[in-house]
Amino acid sequence: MFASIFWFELKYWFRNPTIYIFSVILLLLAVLLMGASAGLFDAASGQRVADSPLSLYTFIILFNKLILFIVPAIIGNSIYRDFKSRAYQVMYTFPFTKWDYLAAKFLSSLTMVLIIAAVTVLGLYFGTQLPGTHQELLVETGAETYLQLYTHYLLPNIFLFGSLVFVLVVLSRNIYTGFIAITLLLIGRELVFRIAGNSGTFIVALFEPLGETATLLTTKDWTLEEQNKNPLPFSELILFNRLLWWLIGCASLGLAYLNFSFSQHGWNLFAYKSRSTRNTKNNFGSLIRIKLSTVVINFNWVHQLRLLWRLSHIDFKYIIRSGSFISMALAGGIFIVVLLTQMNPPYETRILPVTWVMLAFPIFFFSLLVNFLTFLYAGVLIHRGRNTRMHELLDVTPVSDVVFALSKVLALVKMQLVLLAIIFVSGIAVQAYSGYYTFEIGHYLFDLLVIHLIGFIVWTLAAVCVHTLIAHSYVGLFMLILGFFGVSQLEMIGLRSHVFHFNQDIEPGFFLNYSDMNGHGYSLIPYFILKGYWLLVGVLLFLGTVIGWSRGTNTTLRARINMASQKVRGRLGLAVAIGAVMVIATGFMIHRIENAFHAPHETMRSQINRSADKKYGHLKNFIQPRIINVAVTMHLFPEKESFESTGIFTLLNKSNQYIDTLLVNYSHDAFTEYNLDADYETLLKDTIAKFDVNRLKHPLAPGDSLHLSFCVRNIPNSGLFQNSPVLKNGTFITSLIYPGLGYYSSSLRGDPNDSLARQNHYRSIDSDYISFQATVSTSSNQIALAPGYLIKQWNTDNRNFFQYQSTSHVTNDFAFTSGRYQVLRDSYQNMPLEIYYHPAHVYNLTHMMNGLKATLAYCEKYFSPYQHKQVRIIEYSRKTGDFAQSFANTIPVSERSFVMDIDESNPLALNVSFLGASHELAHQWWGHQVIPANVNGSRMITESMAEYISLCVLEQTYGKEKGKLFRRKALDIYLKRRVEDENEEPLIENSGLDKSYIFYQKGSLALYALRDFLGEEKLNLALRAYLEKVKLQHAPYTIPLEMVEYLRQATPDSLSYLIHDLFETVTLYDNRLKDYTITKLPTGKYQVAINFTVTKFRSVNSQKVFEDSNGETLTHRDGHATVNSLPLKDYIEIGIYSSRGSVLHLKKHFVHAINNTLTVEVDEVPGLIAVDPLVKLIDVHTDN
Amino acid sequence: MGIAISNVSKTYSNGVKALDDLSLHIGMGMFGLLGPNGAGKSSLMRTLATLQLPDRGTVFFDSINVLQEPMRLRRTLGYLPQEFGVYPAISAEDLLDYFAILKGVDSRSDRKKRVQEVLELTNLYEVRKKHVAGYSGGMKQRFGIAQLMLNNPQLIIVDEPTAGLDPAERNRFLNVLRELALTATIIFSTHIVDDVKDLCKEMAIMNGGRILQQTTPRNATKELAGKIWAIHISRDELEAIESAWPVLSSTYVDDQKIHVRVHADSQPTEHFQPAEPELADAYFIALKKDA
Repeated sequence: MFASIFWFELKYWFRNPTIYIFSVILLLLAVLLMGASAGLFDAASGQRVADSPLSLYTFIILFNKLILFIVPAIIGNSIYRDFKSRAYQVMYTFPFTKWDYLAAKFLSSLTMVLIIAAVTVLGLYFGTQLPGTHQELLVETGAETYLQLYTHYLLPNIFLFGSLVFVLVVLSRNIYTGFIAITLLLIGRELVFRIAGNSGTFIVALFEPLGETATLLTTKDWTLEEQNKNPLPFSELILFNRLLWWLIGCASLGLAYLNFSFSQHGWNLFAYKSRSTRNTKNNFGSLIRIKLSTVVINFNWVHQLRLLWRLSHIDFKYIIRSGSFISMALAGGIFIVVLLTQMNPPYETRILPVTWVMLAFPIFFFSLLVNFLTFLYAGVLIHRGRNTRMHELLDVTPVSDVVFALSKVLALVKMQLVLLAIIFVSGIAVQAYSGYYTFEIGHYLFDLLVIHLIGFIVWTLAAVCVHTLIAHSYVGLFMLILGFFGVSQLEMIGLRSHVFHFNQDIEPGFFLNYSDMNGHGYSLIPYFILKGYWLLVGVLLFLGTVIGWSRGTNTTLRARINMASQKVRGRLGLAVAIGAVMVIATGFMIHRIENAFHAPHETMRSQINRSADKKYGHLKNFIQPRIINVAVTMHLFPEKESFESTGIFTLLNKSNQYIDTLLVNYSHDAFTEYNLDADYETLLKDTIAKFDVNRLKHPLAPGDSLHLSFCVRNIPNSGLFQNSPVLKNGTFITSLIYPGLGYYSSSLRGDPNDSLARQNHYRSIDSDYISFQATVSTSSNQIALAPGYLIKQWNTDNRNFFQYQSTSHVTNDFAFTSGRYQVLRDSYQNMPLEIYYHPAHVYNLTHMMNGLKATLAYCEKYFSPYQHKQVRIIEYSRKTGDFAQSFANTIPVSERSFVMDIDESNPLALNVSFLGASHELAHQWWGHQVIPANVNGSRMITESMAEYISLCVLEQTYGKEKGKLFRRKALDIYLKRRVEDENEEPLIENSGLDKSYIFYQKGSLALYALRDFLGEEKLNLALRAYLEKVKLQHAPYTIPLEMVEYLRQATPDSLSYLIHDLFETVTLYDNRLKDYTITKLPTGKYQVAINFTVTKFRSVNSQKVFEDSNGETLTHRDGHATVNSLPLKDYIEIGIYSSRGSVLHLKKHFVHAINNTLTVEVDEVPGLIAVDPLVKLIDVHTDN
Repeated sequence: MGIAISNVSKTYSNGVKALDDLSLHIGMGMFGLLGPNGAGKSSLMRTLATLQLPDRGTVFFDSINVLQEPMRLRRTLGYLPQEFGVYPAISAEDLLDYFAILKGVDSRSDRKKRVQEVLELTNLYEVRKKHVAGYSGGMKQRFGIAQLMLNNPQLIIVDEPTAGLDPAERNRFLNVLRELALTATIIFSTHIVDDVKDLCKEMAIMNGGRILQQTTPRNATKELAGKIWAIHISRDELEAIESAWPVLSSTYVDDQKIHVRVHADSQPTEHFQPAEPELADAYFIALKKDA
């Protein structure tokens, strides 16, 4: 019997279009995704191989998650079909056993899903074979890897989720339970990740159902090269994980078997039985007289509206009372609470619970949840009549298709409002709980109801349309989910215009950049334009819904098309025509704005730069006059979001040759006009690269000067794009908008050995030091600032004017800020310290001020006097960025840094406000007094030093423990980021601008390590000597090697390995405490014998190298394993602490072998023994 | 006041011709549509109830062109399908209120009043708080009648309503319909001859998508006066009789004897006794003629 049911089922599925729809969709998706990753659309980036085992694995896991949503539609449906069609009433009387029935149902449907999964895997393979893929992104992984992925991941996962869904549908007799269970499991999984951290722990890895964590845990330390080459691991952890879930899958099948009976009624989670009564009939015979009272029956439009509302409310109540909705909403609520408590994990940077934070954190997850529930319940509501077989009663009621369809939309929107209310309530609750009482109700309502809801409504219209047109609710659901994830990928297949990106924003997630100073700013305008367009499309989809609305009993395609064509002939057709015309017109308009002139976006800009580098790269060292004086006038118009600026550069020929060619570059972000006060002709004007070549009629003699005058205006905001850097409040504009001399490209940074590169310092290529005057004007309620000192301030024509001038020489690198500020004034040794802040952001001002003072004291003590007579910190809007930048006596800081939650008593948190101010101020020495050449590694002199100083100042102010915490975090970031980097370079030659982990984290650790060995005084003295040597020097500018020479001179020979290890090479330790014994001595003291291993290696092109330059290596046999190390003559600190935390022993021990033993006597019972307890060395093994 | 069906045809995608150029005029009162299973009764009923469109033909209810203006008809329509389900976990009272909303009973108090009346009329008042999905067959059928009365329908279509009802339920059900027929056109399909006999003023016999005969129950039997003959025979004689005479029905009287009815203009043999014509005879004659 088993076999015949099994074959019957398989035949059923093979005749069912669903299977083919799913297979084809997944096949195409797999081919496209693989093709795209292998460079098919030239959208692939980086060096990640597309078909390495690990890449294949990530694809497989992605598809696995998609396939999970098919599982209910097939495995759940195989059994649900019999309940739904009521076939069970007959079937259950047939002579087969429960076992035959269930096993055949499960295995046949499982087979179908496995076939679909196999098709997906094949799709990935086909993707690698597509013509047009880039061979360097492919390694031709063999079939056995595909097979392994299939058998180790897809097969067990589908089996597991299949059996879970099967048991749930068997028990509940409701297919949606399956969908909900899958979703809840995936949410739960996400929750555990949030709590346990993504890399996860052993336990998480063991219990995570997809086996993803187990694999990630095994591969997390792989370098890019290993990621591209290594076969997939099959560690014990993965094995146990798989075994465990096989067992759980089998157990749930057992449960299904035990709980299944051939009976009429299912099992209900919320079942209750009210008091039972015995029913007897008493309605025999009796003729009756029917006399009905009169009722008013009405069909005017007021009634239609009321009808609409009532119908939607009935559907809405049905949704929110359903167990599925309640469990999902509950899961969502819990998720938010976890997220918002996670928002300030003890170990991380803490931010105040301001409203934009409350809104930003939950929305990604919630938009998934809201959309998923919309997709699900759209299907449930639309098919509800038919599924319960009540449709004939409903369809003969005099309710128009429009009202029916609209009532479903309205019900779904009401459901969305409930979910959004969860965000609102939990946001307010978390704020109140955290003692933050600035409740911005309007901000909440605007974001939730205006920004998010409109997007949800558009999806609702799409969902209702899809479910109306597709009779199978699970096919509809799957298509919607696919569409939801697919639309963001449209660009990958060449559909670049936003006109095609259904319901997507032009600036995705713009609402996350909400600024307290500037609100959503200009971003709202493109948002409303696009959303207006998509709402129109939504209306069109709704008209499609009404036309395709299925009513009555004949639902064959032909009958529905007949019905639809009849409807189209009426007013509906006219509405569709009008709607279509409007959509096309709006789309056309949007397309035109898109293609109209605007400031180039990121990818376009880098394309322009690449081709310009090819054309003009050879001009980078072309001798040019130098700018020596800058006088600018900047008129800011915050209300109009525009600016207009004029100015004059004085150019001096500092070279010893005549200069007849002037290379002028100017900004992509502004309109620039310029003129020279000498006769010239323009030989080349490249308006795309923004680069001109001008020939002077009379060459500029050495020592001669001329003037370049210019006028720069913003590109107006164009509806879809914000082109102007001016904001209504909190504007921050840097001098990059002004023209410059010479050809400049950030990718053409010089090599430290390149003497030409040393002619320029890293802040500008067209000047050494300038004198600077600026007049800035802004609206009357704002203060505008620029570097230098305020000379004059006045008000004309109801505008504020400020005149700034720097008295000492500064670099040609400045910025303007303007906002409605309040000012906090303080002083340090009679020098004014000022913070210009948004009036509501009062939280971190004291900490910043303290950071400034402590850093001034530290740097003046150890290095040199501060070169300006004032320090200003100025807040600017988040819209422009989340960073801070140091200009002469002026430090613009993003408003994000003004809302940090600083808790000085928390041992696990750092005072980031203090640190931030300290870091930026330290740049006034390291960056403004010591100005390195524009060469690779130069940021070691600026960023590493600023980090080092802020670490020293932090430790001085807050104690050793906070210093250790700082280093611990820096080490974590460094180790995490370096494995993602294929080509880590040593500090002194690091070229990547994006490799901040090297100059910031590693730099601070390296300098601190050296300080620890040499002593603070000694190291800082060396640094001071270096600073004095190069301070405000002229070309050739200093390079990192020069700084390292000063450090080397200060280092005794026994420690000279440190300089090589820390600065000149990438060197890491792997130190481990092996074991220890503690013996109580008769004296009352304790003898501690410690066994620890020390190994050290260099990292060259991501490979571990254990040989030194003489080809020598240390080896040690530890049991079966051989351990290698570079030769050692190193000092390693060993710490022993009492259980109270007091130091019993802390000393550096000389180590020249891998395996070491050490015996020390201490006064108390040791509670903790550690190698390098204060995190001074760069050690890959951080948890000893 | 009445329904005019002209030349209506419908072929389903599986090739079944459910309605074959069917024309029919129906006046006020109770109209019975009698036919065997698969005769096309339900197709006709659904077409009248605006649930499906025919391939050809027109249907008018008074001035309403049913196929072109379904919404107008729906306002005065009461329809009880042959078989229906209901939303789970909703009480009769709530579900009737829902239907009253759908049928345009706007005021809350009107609905409340009307729902209570129809509950009482259908004797469901006691169980109004119970979920309709849990009702027995008879209760559910009464619920069907109740929902049908919510909007003073002028045209009532009930498709095989008595199937599966016990005699008392059936009786009561038919009584309610009879009462409703005083003010509305009721079309009532059945394969049970007695339903029509007991109830209908007019009737039609339908098979294979066509109307075989339109008549009244009284005329149908009157026409057969003197043409129906009965005989009691043993089981073994049946085949011989069947081959010789047009047998209308043959039923066991007791364990041995079979009562056979035959349609013939004159007495076939002296063993046949004249019998009182019944509606069933007319029904079988009509079906036989068509076959």
